[in-house]
Parts: sequence; structure tokens; C-alpha cells
Amino acid sequence: MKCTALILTTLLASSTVFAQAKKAPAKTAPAKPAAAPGTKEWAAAQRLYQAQNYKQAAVSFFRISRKSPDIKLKRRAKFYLGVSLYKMNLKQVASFAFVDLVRTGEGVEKAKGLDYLVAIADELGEPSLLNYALNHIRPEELSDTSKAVFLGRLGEAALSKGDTIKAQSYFEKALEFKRSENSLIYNLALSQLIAKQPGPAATNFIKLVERLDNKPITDLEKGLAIMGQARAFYQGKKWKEAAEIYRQIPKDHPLYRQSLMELSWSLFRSGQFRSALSPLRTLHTPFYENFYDPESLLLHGTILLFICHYDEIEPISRSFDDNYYPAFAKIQEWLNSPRTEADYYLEIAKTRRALVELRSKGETKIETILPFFVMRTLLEEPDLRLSVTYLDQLAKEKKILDKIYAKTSLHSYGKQILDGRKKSVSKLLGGGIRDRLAAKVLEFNEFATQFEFLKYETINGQRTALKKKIAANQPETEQIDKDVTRDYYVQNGFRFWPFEGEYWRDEIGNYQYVGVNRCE
Amino acid sequence: MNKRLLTMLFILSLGLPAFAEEGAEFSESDLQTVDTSQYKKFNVKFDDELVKGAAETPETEFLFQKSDFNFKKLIRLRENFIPEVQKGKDDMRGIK
Repeated sequence: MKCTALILTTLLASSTVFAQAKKAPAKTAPAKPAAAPGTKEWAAAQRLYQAQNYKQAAVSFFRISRKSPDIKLKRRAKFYLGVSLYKMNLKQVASFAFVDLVRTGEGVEKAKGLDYLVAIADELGEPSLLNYALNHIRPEELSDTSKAVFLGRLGEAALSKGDTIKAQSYFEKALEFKRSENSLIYNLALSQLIAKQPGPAATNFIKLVERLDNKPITDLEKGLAIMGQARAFYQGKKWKEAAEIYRQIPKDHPLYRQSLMELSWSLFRSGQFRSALSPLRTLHTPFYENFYDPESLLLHGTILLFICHYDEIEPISRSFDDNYYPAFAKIQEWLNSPRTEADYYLEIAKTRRALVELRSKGETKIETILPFFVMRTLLEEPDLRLSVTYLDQLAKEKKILDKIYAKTSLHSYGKQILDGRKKSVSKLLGGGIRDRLAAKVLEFNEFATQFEFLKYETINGQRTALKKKIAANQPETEQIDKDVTRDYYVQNGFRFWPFEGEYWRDEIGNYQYVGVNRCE
Repeated sequence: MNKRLLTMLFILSLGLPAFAEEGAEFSESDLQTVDTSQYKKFNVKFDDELVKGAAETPETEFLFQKSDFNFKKLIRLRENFIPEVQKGKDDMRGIK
């Protein structure tokens, strides 16, 4: 704690030093290795490095770092080994060379090594590596890019502890070093949302949308900025404005499904019940059946109850019962039986293969023991997704290593690092999924209770309506949605496709709810 | 006596339209001098004259809802989408 305080004090006091600091390590031209004391091999390695032949240079530097009796030379070789591997896109392997340098080195080489380490940790999204780097850092020795990363990470750490004021100040400070960093603006807006300041958050999201103006409308970052803007308006209770912004997300955007759900909430909160039902109709087509989304089902049922459409609630309750109860029975059974992290990881691997197949072929024949629609949703959780992405990066590095360094001593060094990392991250991921599944079971129980309540209210409403009808001796009243032929609606200017559980892909997003209020 | 009175009233009533025409020619300054406080106030209600209507498109129509049950008990109202914003953090950093 004292160490962190010291780092921060130094960091904040030395802002003028920061401003003059050198550029990011990853973006600089390869530095010329200083003249080596003596050996022929060092000179040869130098020449290879200067010629940007990083593939061969890495092998030479690795040999020197292992065999040279000169400790100083060894340290320098470690640094250039790290840089060469980094240039070969072997970032994880490179990080170990830098860690080794930081552990044993001193002075300029150690500082440069840390600079690279921060950059690699940020690019890999690997928290343990970043924490290691941050614990050894002397902020005044960092480049501007690394300072921005460093401050950004401090901001995230403060945010995770719930200290939004500190987080905001770190993000703002980080933006002074790297104004072009969209993720810093996003994080600043996020911390403002958590601090219940939707107004400033909306301003920052709008700034982000403007910065991404030249990007295509299907761009993920642009979509996130637009969604962020809408979410800030929603939190500020500007539901109508939020709904308008959500509608900017196009159908072929990766965030479209999520935007439908949030659009429904916005319309619902602004009192437009019929409009709120329309996106829910799309969400509950079989097109989106492979997603875990009990909240939207409950919202759908609740709005229908609100407008006394009791007969339409039944299929929704049935859908919940038919899909979620068997799925969670399976999950509970799995959790109760003795399983290792490796078993969970195997299920993750199968889910990922199924996802790839589903995206490429439109369907999958890979069967998972744990319910696919729950597993794919869990893999979207930020920390789990980060681990999965990290594992992918390790697999890519393994391929490069096998292809380029198969018959060199560097191969076994790299393989040992990559295998070790894969083993520990897989274990971590398996444990993470187990914990999330247990949390999902609790969440499911809450939803199940709410659905029981919905069923009770439905029966109660039906009973009351029937009693009123019998008492008044009324004939059945004509309802506008009794005639559900397409022609009827087309003639009347509606875009309507009677919802029978089927879907046409080009009609996703165009389903309109045209029922009327039946409450008496 | 009564006949005389009736005759006078008849003559007076013939002259009323002429008074009305004179009133219509009041200038603005004349109107300003009129003390309106002596007149009794009254309200005009147009309720019966208005046509009740609603937009027919699903985009705009509001549905009236039932109000005899505790809605908040049934579903937890979403106050924010902070967890969803947090999920987007890594995508913004370019980690796919």
C-alpha cells in the first residue's frame, strides 16, 4: 500500500517529466544495440537485429543470454531477445524474457524492459502480467503510452474497488498522455455512470460517437459508443431519447440483439407498452432461441399482464418452463457431482467449437453436456472472455513457435512457457465457469419465483375478467387482433406478420405488436 | 298605463341593433377605458366539442394498463445498464 502511494506521488509530481518522455516501445524503430564487449556471436546477433532479421536474431540473443559468462552481456541479450520475440508476435514468450530482465537487471535495461512488459500485458489483456509490471514500475521512466496504460489500469483498479472519484481522476490524467485512446474515454464515462452522473457520462459517450464518426455503422466500437450514449440517457430517465438512440443500431450489428432488449425497457419505462412489445417479439423468435435471456421473457410476460392479454402469457411461461427448467436441472446435477476444473474446461472448449460451427454454417451438431445457450452467455462475461481470448493468443504463438523455431533451443524454452500459461489459465477459466454456473442457478431460482408469480397473476386476472363477463351477461367483444390475416393488416397500413413462432430472417426487427388493451 | 309602457319597450327594442352597431365601432382607446371588473366571469368548456382520437400506428399508441396489482413485486425494474457497459470495456480496448 505504501509502495503504491509512493508510486502515485511520484507519478503525479513528475508530470513535466512525463511530457518529455520517449514514445511507446512498440512504435519506436528498433534501437541499435550498443557495441558489445567482445564476442563474435554478439556482433553477429547485432547485425541480424539491425537488418531486422528478428527470427535469427532471437535465436542468437537467446544463446548469449544462456551461455555467456558476462552478466552484463547476458542482461542486454535478454532485452534484445524480448524485443525480437515481440516483433515476431511471440508476445507471451517475449514477456518472460522481460520478466527475467526486470528480476535480475537494473538501470536503463530494466526500465526499458518494464516499458515493454506494460505494453505486452495491455495487448494480451493478461491481468497477472500487468500486476507484476505495475508492482515493479518507476513511473518517471515510462513512455507516454505506457503511462497512459499504467494510469488507465490504476483507474480500473479504483473502479473495481468502487472508488469512482479516484477512478475518474486517473482516467482523466491518462487522457492527458494519450488523448486518442477511445477506451479511456469509455472507461471515464463508465465510472461516471457508476457514480450516478449520467449527464457527464452521456457527454463523454457523445464525444466518443463523434470521434468514431468515420467508422462504418457496423463497427463494434462505434456501436458500443452509441449504446453507451443510450444507456446514459436511460439511466438519466430520458427514456424516449434513449429509445431513439437505441434505434440507430443496425440489424447486422453484433450488439443488435442486446439493443432490442434495452429498447424494450426504454419504451416500457416511457409508458409505450405496445411499442415495447414489438422488439420483444423479435427477441422471442427461434432466430434468437440459443441465448440465455430470461429477463426479456419475464418483461414480455409482465407487459402482457399489464394490458390484460392473459392468453398470450401462457406461451411465454411455457417457453420458460420448457427451456430453463431442464437446463438448470442438468446444471445442478453437474455441479453436485465431483468435477475438476479440467472437466469444466472441456465443456468450454466444446461450446466454443459449437459456436464457431454455428456462426459459419448456421447450425451445429456438436453436443455439449452443459446447456449450450447458458454456456455461450457465460463466455460473454468480461473476465472469462478475456481468458478465452488470451488462450487463443497462446495457441497462435504455439503455432508460430512450432513453425519457425521447431529445431532450435528457443522452441523448448517457448513451449515450456506457453504450456505452463495454458495450463494455469485453463484451470482458472474452468474454476471461473464453475462459480458462474453456481451463481446462475441462484439467479434462475429468482426468475422461477417471478414466473410463478406471473402465472398466479394471470390466472387471477382471467378469473376476474370471467366473473365480470358472467355478471354483466355480455357476449364476447370483438378484438382488433382477432383477425390476424396478413391482408387485413397490410390494408390498414400496418407492417405486421402474425407471430406463430416462425421467422423470416429479413423480417427480424420488423415484428409489430398490434394488440389492444383488454383491461376493463 | 300598461299600454304606454309596452309601446315604449317595443320602440326601444327596435333601436337595439343600432346600439350594437355603434359598439362595434369602438376604438382601442375606448376599449381600454372599459372597466371589465364589473362583469361576471364565466368559463367555457369545449369538452363535448372535441373529437377524441389516437394515432393508429403501433409506434405511437399508448396502451392503457391495469392498475390493480403491484407491478413492482413482479419484476425488478431496470434502473441502469451498467453491467452491460462494463462488458464492453475490453471490446473498446481492441481485445476481441
